Amino acid sequence: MTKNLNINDLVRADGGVQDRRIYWDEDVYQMELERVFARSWLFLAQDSLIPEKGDFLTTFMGQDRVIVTRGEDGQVKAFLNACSHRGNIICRADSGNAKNFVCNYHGWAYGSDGRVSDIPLQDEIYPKSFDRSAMDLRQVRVESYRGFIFGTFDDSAPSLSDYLGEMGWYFDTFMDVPGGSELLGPPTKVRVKANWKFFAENFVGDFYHAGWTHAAAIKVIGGPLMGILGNQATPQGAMQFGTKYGHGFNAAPGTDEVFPHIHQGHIAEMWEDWVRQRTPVLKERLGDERATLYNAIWDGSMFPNTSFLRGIDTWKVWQPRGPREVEVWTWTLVERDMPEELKQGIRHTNEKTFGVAGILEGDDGENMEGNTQTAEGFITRDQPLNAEMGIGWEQLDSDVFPSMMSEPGDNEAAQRNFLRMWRTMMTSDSWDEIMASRSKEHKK
Amino acid sequence: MSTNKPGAIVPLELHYEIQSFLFREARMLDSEQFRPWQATLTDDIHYWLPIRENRFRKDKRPEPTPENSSSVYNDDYTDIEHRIQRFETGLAWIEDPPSRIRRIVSNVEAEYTDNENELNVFSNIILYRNRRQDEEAWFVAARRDRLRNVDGAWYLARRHIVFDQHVVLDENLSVFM
Ligand code: FES
Ligand SMILES: [Fe+2]
Repeated sequence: MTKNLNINDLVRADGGVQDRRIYWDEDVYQMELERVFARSWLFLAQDSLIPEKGDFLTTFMGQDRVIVTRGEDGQVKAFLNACSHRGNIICRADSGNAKNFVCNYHGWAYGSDGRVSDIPLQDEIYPKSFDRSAMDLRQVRVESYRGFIFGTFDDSAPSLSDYLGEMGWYFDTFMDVPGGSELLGPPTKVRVKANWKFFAENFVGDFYHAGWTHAAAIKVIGGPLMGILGNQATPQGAMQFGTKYGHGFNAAPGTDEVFPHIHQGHIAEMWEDWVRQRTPVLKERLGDERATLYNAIWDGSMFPNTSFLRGIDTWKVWQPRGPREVEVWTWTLVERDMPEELKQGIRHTNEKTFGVAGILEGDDGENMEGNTQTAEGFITRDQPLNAEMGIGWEQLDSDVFPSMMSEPGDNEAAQRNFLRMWRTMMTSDSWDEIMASRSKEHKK
Repeated sequence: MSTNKPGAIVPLELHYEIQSFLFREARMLDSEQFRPWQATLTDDIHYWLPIRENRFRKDKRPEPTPENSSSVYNDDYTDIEHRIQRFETGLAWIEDPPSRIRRIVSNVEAEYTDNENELNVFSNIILYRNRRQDEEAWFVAARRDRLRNVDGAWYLARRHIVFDQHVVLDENLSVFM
């Protein structure tokens, strides 16, 4: 019924109007796995999650299962978690420490580099001509940015640092602090019956929903956040950003007085002290703009499916599970040099607000499910969705901040930018094409 | 009472009292009587639901704690107070119209501890949640509770919930178990 979909018809060129099928259709989804997930840089791990030689974790790239390991040489590798023999899942643990991985079916073993290390009885039962090296597990191209480890299946993709582009400059606000940042895991995981893009878009640029969707939690948290309770505009000076390859964020500078209300008691004080003492250091190291951002609440997404919320310090991956289901993985983001007690306090705040029973996160899931499920109606599916808020107000490279910027904070500029990247990837046959098209749009 | 050995099963009458405490608690939560329920918690309550990672049996890492692993709940009295307040604002859209929730509690055991005013209480719970038109979730868990007797009444001082899903299979786990 929906074969031969023309993607160009499904998202308007400026990203402002979308056909609901992009959040619903199985064919679109299969195309996403191929054209978006198999070609983008996807979040795999953070150094802190696999610190020792032999440490591993298992995760997903799209729906491809992968094992991420730190080998004997200290290098991080990633490879498919699917046996080359008859296809079984090789490693069923979420994390651990291992020298090799042995498949449960016939006992083929693979080293922590993903290469075949043993095929039981090989000499007796396989011909001499058997090409054992062809049985090595498909490798993932792995690169790191300040201890955050990403992978792609596409050798023609730009380097991770080019792919991040200006987003790296912004990430540095918390990743390039002295000592760096790290993630506390393991991730909590929860299934939501919604299309993964709704979550990524929500984090890339939806200040608009915060005061209404989260009204109940905001009322409990109190403090300056009360200013957005109900349908109030986001604070003066709030902005939205979109970078070349679809990443982006909302930021509300000057919101540091919110933090003590989000954290509790003693931890709130520790947090305030920490920020107060860090800010001049960051001013020196990164300049005024990012010192300002360091003191702000901001939430963003890295295309396609990694998101973060600075200020509550949540780090999330939206693992797709078909067009109508997503598995939400959540870690806590902390600075490595923070005192242990503060790290634990931040973990607690993150779990309480954006965890599986989070008083804020709980509000979002049902909206995303509703967004997705209404498309089951034949007529409903034909009604376009709208993201035209603030359209035409985008400007490239303001005086201080790189990338495309738009004001005010209540805006859908970052979503449109995300969707334009999505459209470009879905319709381009090569990374050369993607780069050319995106560079044209984001040309200074 | 001090002659009762830690780990020994409590006698029938006391068992009945403890079981009634758990049943009553389930009924209060099923009917959204959060304030009366809260009144059965001690001020130093620790309400903890850790996630349960898949690890190999030979994995030697220590058992998860709130500090070395991630939790769904790691609440003290204030956190629980906030969750109740959120509900009471009348602005929690996802609970309006309300969910239909039923808790089935079983496998109750109560044991003496080395504190004469406290018991270790074990139970299993099945929580059925039905939302909107046809959304269903079944949550199953074991609970390891510490109950404290203060002036003749029982209070919940600690609840460790051993939850039997790794990936939580429904939208959220925003229910007390
Ligand atoms: S399928 Fe893995 S060893 Fe046969
Ligand atoms: Fe939200």
